Amino acid sequence: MENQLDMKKFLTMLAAAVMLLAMPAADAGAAKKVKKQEVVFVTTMDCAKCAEKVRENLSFEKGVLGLDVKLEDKTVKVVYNPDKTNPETLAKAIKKLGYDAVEKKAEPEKK
Amino acid sequence: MKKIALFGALFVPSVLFAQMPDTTGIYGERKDTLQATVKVATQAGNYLPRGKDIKTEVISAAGLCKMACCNLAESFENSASVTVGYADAVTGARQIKLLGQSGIYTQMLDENRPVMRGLSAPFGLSYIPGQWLESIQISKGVASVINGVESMTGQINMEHRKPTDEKPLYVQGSIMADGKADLNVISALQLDEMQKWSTVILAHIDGNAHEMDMNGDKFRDDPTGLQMSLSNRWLYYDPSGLQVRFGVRAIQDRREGGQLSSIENPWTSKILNRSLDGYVKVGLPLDDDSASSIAMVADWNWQGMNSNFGLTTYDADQQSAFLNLLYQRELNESHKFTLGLSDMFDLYNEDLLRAFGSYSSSPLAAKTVLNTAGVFGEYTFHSGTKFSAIVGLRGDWYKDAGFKVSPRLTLKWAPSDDFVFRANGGRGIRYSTPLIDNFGVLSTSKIFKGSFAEHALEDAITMGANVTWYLPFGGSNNYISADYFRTDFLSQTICDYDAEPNTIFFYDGQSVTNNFFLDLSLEPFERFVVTLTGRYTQAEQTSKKSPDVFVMKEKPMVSRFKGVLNLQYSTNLNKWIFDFTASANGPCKVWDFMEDRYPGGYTETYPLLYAQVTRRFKGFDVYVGGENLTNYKQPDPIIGAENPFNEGFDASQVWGPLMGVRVYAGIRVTIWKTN
Repeated sequence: MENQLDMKKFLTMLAAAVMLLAMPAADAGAAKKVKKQEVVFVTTMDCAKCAEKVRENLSFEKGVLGLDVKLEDKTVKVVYNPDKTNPETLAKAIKKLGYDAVEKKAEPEKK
Repeated sequence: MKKIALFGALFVPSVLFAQMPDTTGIYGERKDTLQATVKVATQAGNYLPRGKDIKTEVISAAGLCKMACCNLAESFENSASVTVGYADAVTGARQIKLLGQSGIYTQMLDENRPVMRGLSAPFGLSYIPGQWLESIQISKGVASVINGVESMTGQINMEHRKPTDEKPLYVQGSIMADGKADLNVISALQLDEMQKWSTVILAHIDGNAHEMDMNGDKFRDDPTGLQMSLSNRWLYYDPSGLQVRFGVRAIQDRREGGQLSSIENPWTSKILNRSLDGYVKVGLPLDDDSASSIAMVADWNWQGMNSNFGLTTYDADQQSAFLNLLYQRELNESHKFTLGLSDMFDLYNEDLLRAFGSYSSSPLAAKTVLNTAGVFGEYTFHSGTKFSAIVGLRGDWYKDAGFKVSPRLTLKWAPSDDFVFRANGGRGIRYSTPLIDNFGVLSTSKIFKGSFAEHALEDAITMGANVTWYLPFGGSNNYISADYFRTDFLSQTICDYDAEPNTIFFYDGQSVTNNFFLDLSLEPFERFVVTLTGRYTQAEQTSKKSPDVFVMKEKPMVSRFKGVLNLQYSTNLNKWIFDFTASANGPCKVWDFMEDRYPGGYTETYPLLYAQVTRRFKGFDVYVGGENLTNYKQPDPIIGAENPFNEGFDASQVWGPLMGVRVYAGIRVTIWKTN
């Protein structure tokens, strides 16, 4: 009986924890449409673990909305909110992880 | 690049793990991993990598986080290939089944060193914390001969977190509602600028102080106890190509199962396990273009066990040593061969006292030396990416059993990028260790008869084939795959509960298992992955009907089928991960003596549900989840629970969950190396 009571108490706490954790997600869903810009960095990352390191850290940089880490061509494409961050800040964040990051300029359109 | 690939192959048999993460990826300038598939968009848990010579199911780090994953056994819960169960209802010893046979016939490898052999096997799965691992690779059937031929139904390789991981600190802790808690602390350090020297320290502690009895049989569902393990692994890499890996590990586990302590004169099982092991691996290229290389792998292990099961006591220790010397030469892109010598040495000391009711006997007090010395060769032919053939041959001298030859063949044919046909087959041989292989027999009040103290050679032929079609739409991990495997044991130590009343008879017999598998993986929309896997098993083994009459009949306690559905959804940037696993576990034929408890002679089919929610933040994750959410428990898992000291007591007939709903919560903290 005591075990059952413990279990009920734990389940209640668990439900509360899930709801608490879910609040920011619900919030994000209701948010207004944010501005989006895109930047591509050519980096010096050269291993799968380097790519993992970049992905795991850059995903949580302020203003980052989307990320595409390509090891094949050593590029990191970042979709970001220009009101919250900028390419310089993002490049600094990559350099802090130990890799050079140079912004790749869009190639001029061929006429 | 050639040097890197060749070295990787020396340390990692190319048959199995040619693209293994970071075992090869640390070498040279680490550019080899540019070829690796980097799953940056999703957190792929289980997947089938393309291009491997043998079909290999990979459980990634993300997959290892799907369950509470306190240890290796639990990480197989969402795999249909591997079935996880308990050896008995009191000790907490976990066991797996692959291809309808006990896990003792699956070779366990720690970065391609054979581990969990003999006395280390019954509890070994509990001594590998899931959080110590980076990935697990499962392959069915028989593959390379390089690590011996003890793999008879498959191989499971564990990749630990690496010294080169740029994570100076990783901490994971979790607690379950039943009071079980675990903590892992891992630190990977690169000691110089050139990363010549690097090391990883892995520490683990788990404990369970709370007695739980969810089914009301007055027995603890899970033993209480405390386990600690500590490991330190080193890597030295010289730009000239020389590399040395070495490490040590120590484990102590004290556990107590059996009747609740509130009972007067309780039947208990107290087990103290201690283990110490060390290994060294050296690889050296012999020429500038590294077309040829040599490598050495050496391993030493000591395992001690002091245990009692009611009045029965079993004290044992084992010392094992393994040496593998390899020479590899790559003639060109199509032709490669490996030659080698190996030795596997085991020294067992066993002391058994059986006592229950009015019965008392000391049927085993022996020192046993087992030794296998072998010579082997493996030739690999590649015709681009379309076709490969690997022919392996070993000649081993087995102490007291003579010289045996074991051939193996692996074929792969990929007529297109999306379609792969594979087949493998060959012979497997191992020494049996009857009591250790059937550890649950100690949790019974039955008399042992027959060859339980002998170490006969078990001999099997396994053959199988697989077709995988990578679906030409959606993500790269969409596939349908079907397998068939058959294992014929020409000689197997059978542990028979039905030969005589209240007796467990050990004798040499045969068995046949046929296994069918179907796997489907789909990503119907971005970041939502559906995996459906199924297994069907037909298994027969020798049954002793009278002193001279043996017949083949359905192998008891092997579930006929298992189906697993896994759904995983992650939000953008994987900030939220939702995981749900449902499985249906098919019936097992029970032993004849149990049929009064199981009308029809079969156990029932039961469902299992698991769910987990993870919220990820910068540097840390928190997760909550639940196991066995249907709360299904095996009814009355202990036969004779009311009179455990007397004849008739049997806690070894476990086919379902012993515990009901268990919820848990945990946290993972990662500190990354920065400039």
